[in-house]
Amino acid sequence: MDDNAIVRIAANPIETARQRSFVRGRKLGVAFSSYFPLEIFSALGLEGVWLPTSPRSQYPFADSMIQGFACTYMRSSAEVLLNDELPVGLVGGVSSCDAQLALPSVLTSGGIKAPVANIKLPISVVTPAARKHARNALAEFCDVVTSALGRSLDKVELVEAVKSYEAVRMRVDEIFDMMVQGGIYAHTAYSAAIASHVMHPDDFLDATANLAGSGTPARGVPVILSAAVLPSAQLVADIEDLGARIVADDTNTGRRASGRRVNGPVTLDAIADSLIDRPLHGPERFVGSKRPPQVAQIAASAGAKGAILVRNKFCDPTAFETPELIAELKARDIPAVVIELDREAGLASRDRTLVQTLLERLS
Amino acid sequence: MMKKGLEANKRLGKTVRNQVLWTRIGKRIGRPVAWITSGAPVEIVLAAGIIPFYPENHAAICAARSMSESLAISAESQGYSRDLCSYFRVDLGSSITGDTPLGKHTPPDMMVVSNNICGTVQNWFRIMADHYKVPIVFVDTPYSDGQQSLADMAYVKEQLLELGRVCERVSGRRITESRLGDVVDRSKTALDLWRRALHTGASRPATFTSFEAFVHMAPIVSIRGTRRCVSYYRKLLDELEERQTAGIGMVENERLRVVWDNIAIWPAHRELRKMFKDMGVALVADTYTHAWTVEHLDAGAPWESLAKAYTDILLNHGAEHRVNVMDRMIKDFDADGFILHSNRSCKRYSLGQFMVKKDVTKRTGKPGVVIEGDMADPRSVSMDNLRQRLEPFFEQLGDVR
Repeated sequence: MDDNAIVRIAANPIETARQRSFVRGRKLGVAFSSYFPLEIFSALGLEGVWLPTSPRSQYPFADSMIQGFACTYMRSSAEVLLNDELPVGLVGGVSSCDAQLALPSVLTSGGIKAPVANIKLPISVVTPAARKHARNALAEFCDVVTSALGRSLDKVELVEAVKSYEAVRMRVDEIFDMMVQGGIYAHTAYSAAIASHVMHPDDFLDATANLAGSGTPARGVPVILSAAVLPSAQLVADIEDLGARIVADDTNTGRRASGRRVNGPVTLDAIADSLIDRPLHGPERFVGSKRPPQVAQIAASAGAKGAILVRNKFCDPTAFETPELIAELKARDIPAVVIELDREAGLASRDRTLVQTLLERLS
Repeated sequence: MMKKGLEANKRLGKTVRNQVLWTRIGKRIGRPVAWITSGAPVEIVLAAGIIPFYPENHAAICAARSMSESLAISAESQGYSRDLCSYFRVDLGSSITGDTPLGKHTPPDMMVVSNNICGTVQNWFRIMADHYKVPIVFVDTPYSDGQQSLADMAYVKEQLLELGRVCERVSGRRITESRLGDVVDRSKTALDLWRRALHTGASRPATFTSFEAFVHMAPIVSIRGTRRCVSYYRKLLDELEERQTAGIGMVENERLRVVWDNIAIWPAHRELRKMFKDMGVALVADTYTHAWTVEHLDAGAPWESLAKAYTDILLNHGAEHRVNVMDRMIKDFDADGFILHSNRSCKRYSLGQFMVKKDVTKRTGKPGVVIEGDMADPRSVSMDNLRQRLEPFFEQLGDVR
């Protein structure tokens, strides 16, 4: 498989997930948070996917259930699931922002056939009590879903799945390292990240085995890209086309999720610990005031000259953090531009101008 | 028989002013001040001798005094999106400009925040903690679509004990089990009095309505756990019971009775109250003021009961729980219908209301209406739109009756 194949998969991740279920003969376990450990789905006999954003012009099912002031990621997730676009065996969430907390109720009331359950992962990940509670919460989640599905957790498959998904996350990290070093287009790297969320681990590892050095080294103004969930890889292509070179990542789509590692012997406790110990948490978690300086430091260390901060409209955690992040970046002489996306998959013309202006100023 | 305003209205202003004054005096005599969320376990703060101050209450007062728009704009000028909670924007704007209807701010010595009411407050209070350069304690209360588990309670209790330790360090006063028990006992008494006061809205005509309750909830939020709070609600309840016995209603010629979901629309509070009265509609109950009627407090087991009380509250549960609460409320208060305020500023309270509407109607047979507004930002409130939604709804309810 070549770079283009990965790009094509990322352009239609919902279809990839559907085909995966068909080919593997198992229903999907669908997560709507980058914190959800997909290996749990495997151990329950399901094909685990982290639902990507599926931008579209209309959201008839979701709009009938959700007010206008919810982010597109939530709206898109509800639309895909309520419109029965995927063969779903279980939907799993993780305690997060207020919109994500509302999603299980919306799905249940909307008549989704599969069980829906949340891992009550601590929001605050900086206290000693948080680790203990994360372990309890994951165990409780497993009890709830095994009871709802009428099947137990396959511990052998869990061990295998942890290894497979760990290999996937490490591969994504390697691909991002290549991107940072200019060995691969960011569009390809982010396409790989999106594909990793919906492809079977073995298929993903096969598909990306030869990505190394296969792309033309990208050139341009070095920038950091910060966002929650990217609406598409097309957005990255648009940014690259304007002359930016992404040298650091702070997105749920990319490094925040791929940085997770399960250490020691595979147990539910070790998986829970990996969620708490994620090297780069998103702003939906409480880490005191550490995150903006941490992100600014990542940008500075990578040699970023500018920052592109993508804010999904109505994403409260990102909106709260943006002014502080801008200030921290500015303190390191890294100017930032904020792009607010609502239902767009790529850059709108106004945002194109904003990015262009930033890049011209820096080049 | 009709009688104009409650006598308690006069006491309310004095009570709120005294609390603000006490914050200032306390500060001068060396008592620390904690800025705290409305759903945080204030009893622990009080037991450590720390004086609480409620930014949410402050924002509501700013909104009721028509100050919120300019304050919100000040926060927006710092880069904060207009899509964020208006209480946050108003409070931050007030801290930036120094403008407040309370005269002046008393800076905090610490921040206490709990996410049992929303995810906004963890960001809001962290930003304020940075602004004032003070420590913050975050009590993380697991949200649950169903009932919270024993593990959830144990997690919260562990954090409450840590909150206690921080409060002791800040104030230099030890929290004894007996002192905490006394505060918890006073909270429990006040909550019970408040619950009974709210339930006078169940009589026909309604002795108390949510328009009054939205205002008279200030003490249960801001001074619960104190003797003053108990005294305030004892007098309020006495007055309400007296009016109930005399058959005095809040709405002359009460024609319809409705229940409300979500926070008040402060920028339109007066106009809405007048409109309801003019149309003979009594707003007999609401999910917001009833949220301060938790029943788990136990002076004999203060830490455990605080963990349970502050975890098992309305907004820390999924929409199904809300449906149960509204179903019961509609029956207990003999309501003809219900109103869901889709509050642009509060996602935790609002997202899911479309299904709440559908399911409550299915359960009770009573119609509901969703109205769009905002608790504090007048730019997101249109009285014309509210009228256009509510007047036909009331007419429809009248026809059904």
